[in-house]
Amino acid sequence: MSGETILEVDDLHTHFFLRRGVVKAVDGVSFALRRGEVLGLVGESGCGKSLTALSIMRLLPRGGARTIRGQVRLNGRDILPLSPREMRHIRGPMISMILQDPQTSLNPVFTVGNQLREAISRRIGMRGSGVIREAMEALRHVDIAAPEQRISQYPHQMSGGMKQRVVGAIAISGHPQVLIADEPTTALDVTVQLQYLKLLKRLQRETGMAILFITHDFGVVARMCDRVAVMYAGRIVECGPVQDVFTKPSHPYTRALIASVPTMTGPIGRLRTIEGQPPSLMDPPLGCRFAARCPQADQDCRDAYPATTHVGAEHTVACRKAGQP
Amino acid sequence: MIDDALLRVSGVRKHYPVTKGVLFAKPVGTVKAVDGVSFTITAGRTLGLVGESGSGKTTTARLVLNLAEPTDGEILLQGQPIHGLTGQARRQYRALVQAVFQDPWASLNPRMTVGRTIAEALIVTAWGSRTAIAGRVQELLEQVGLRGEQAGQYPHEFSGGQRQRIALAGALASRPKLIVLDEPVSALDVSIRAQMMNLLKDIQAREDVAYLLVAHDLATVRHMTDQTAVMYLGKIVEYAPTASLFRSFHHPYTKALFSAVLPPQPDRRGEEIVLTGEVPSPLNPPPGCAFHTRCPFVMPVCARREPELRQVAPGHLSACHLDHAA
Amino acid sequence: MRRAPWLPICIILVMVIMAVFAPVLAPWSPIDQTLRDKLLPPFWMEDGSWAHILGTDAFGRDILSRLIYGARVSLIVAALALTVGGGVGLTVGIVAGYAGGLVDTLLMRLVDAAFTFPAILFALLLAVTMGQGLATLIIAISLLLWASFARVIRGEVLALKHRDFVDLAKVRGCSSLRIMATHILPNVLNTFMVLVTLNIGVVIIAEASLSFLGAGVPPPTPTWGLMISEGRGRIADAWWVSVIPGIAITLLVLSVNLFGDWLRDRLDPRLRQL
Repeated sequence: MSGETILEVDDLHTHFFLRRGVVKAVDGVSFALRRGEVLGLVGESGCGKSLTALSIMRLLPRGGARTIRGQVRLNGRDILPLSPREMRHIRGPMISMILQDPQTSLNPVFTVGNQLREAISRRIGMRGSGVIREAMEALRHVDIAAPEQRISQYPHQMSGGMKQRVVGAIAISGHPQVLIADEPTTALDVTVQLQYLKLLKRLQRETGMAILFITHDFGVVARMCDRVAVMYAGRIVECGPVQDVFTKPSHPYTRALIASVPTMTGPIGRLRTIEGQPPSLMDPPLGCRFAARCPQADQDCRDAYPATTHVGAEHTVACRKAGQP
Repeated sequence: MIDDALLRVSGVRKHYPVTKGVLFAKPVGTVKAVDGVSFTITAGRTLGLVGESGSGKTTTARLVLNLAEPTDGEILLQGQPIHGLTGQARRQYRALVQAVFQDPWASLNPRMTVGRTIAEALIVTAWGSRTAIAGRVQELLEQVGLRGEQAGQYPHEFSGGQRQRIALAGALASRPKLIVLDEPVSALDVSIRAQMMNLLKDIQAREDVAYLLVAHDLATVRHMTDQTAVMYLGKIVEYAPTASLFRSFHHPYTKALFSAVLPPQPDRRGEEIVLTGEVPSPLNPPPGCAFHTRCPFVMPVCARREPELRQVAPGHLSACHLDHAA
Repeated sequence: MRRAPWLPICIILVMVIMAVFAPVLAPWSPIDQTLRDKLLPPFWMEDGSWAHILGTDAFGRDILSRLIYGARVSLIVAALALTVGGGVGLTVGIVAGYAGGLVDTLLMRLVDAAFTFPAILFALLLAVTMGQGLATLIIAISLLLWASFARVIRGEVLALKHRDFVDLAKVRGCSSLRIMATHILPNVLNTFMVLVTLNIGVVIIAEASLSFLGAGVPPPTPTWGLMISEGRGRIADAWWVSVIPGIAITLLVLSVNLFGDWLRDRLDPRLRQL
């Protein structure tokens, strides 16, 4: 891992503009993704992780959300002000995305080969038999056996795991430097998930691309990621090497989340829970957004949003009580 | 012989014929969704059905709920067969066996108040007067950790976790003896899952109700069940008290399932068994042992003969030729 | 989010008020003939007078009054035909969709037959056999409507019946009838309402057509369709007799369609998410 930053998100704000108000879904998110590393973005539903990914890809749903502040620097160049045409040159060859549901990621009326060839010929700029060979090679590369048969099949003829591998093949066909994976294994069976994660890890090692891995599953983070950022209510509350964050979780939310997951070993008793709900993002509280649910919160926590501090060399947390047991 | 098991499932099969042609449908095969499944559930205890897609666990749950009729075999509740019931007997069955499904957004009728949804089982059996039913609804709402006054609200006013609780309240209305829980927490956020699991266990202790828990997550199964049955392509491949299963599993598929579990601990990387190939189609299950096409320990006999469930430890059954070889 | 279509809504309200308060609003009786004043043009033309703002027809009957009373017939027929035709279509759609199998097949074949039927001809046949009148008209127009309602509603029900809450209703012990009435019906009502508003225009034009052909409500009761028919021969010199009720029909149908479109957008749950 060379430590060189390839994607930098700087104070990103993406809001939903609704009739009844503005939802500050992504409210000041900053992180850096280094070449060759896997950064996990973990959080529960509504925390803003998917929207962050869509903001980076400039694929926000039209008429609803807009990025109103911040920069997204790819290789040092801010891509937020780019025109749609310029973005089209970036998506694919520089940055690509895999989504959760393989069902909707593939067009049901075109063969798998057709969709793969389309992606490849965009990169190579040629058509014909060379592309078909490349397509079969791409399928083989994602561990799909008998690609000659698969290439003329339709998505509905494939299992979920295989579809997701095709999606992966299409995504990396442009040899992107950054891959954003938004919950790619959530809809897959557990044994298929393991296959897929190993494949992803292998592809990453071979191509050296950086991966932003979005998930809600801490187990997946532990298996896949080098570093992890924990998101809550539109902001990042903790960030650091996976080893550090898991062995010394410093934000009460991270701690509570890890503790609430049922374990495979150890005593079986009442599970620890987090009372209450995340705050409304139309009217977020001034202070720490987790304060209402935090057993350690005091008035200072509620008055002002805590600054981000270091609890390790690369381990940061936004909590006043960090470092205290 | 007095059957002390609350629910007894014996040799149950559910085969769906697959037909070709629109006008004159011709059978071209059968999908053997459930192919010879047997298990028992004791009153007040929990049995977990674990498996991945295509395993037949959901179909089994639907058979127990009488939402489908088995092609073969029988299901007995308190010693009585549950299929082919009519009238009073059927109503009694419905009162005794209830369900909670996976998706909190699809489980509640969006046009009905939650109070009305919860009261459904009571209204259908004319259980009592309107005031009596309203009172019971309030009681049930409080039992699941919500407020009685919320009975007049609509589903869209609640969060996913709350809706799942409402669904549970509806299931408890008729004081059932068995609740089928089909992936009750998989669609919930991580922090809400713990709440729901605690609630389910509390209710089981208080109401002495048995659960049939269908799940794919082994950690959940470990926390919630007394017995576990692992299913693959319509059959049970391993069946044991949960503690025994987690201490030492036997079947290669169970091994693969366990190795696919990802604990939230970066260092613990046990032996990872990555299964090759795809799950075979239930239309065309492999001959012999259904798992042999992907089994890392496959032997020649596996393709020829289907292994039976045999005891490998007290109360612990496994269907694998490896166990018999010893 | 589209703003409410105020102009169409106003037009619809005006028409409804006209229909309800006809006796109060109409300056003349709609059926009184004053042959002396026949074929007077509307007030803005030469020879027109303020006594008959929109002119008179060949029998000297005041056009404005006939227009106002005609609104009554149009709206009553629309309301009843939509209730009967829509109601039948709704029921058939729910039963066919939920029951499936043979019942579904049979009912849908019936629907297919209804679509291929030359409805206007059948309405004329009915008028001949049963005699002209409000009942005949309503039956004829209902027959026109029910099949399209049934088809659309059935489609919705097919998707609905596999939802978890329907399965749960079965598990709670609900009979099929109860499920159709308390779970399926309330969830197709949105679609039903939109279908109703979209079909008002169809009904009004159907009534006008049938009246025009002489198969609707018999004269002298004024209906807009009948008025158009009566002015047919005189388009050249007394255009107002046909054109004015024609404009009324156009305005009402346009307004109702625009309103129906807006309602559909509003009630569509996918848009509601925003």
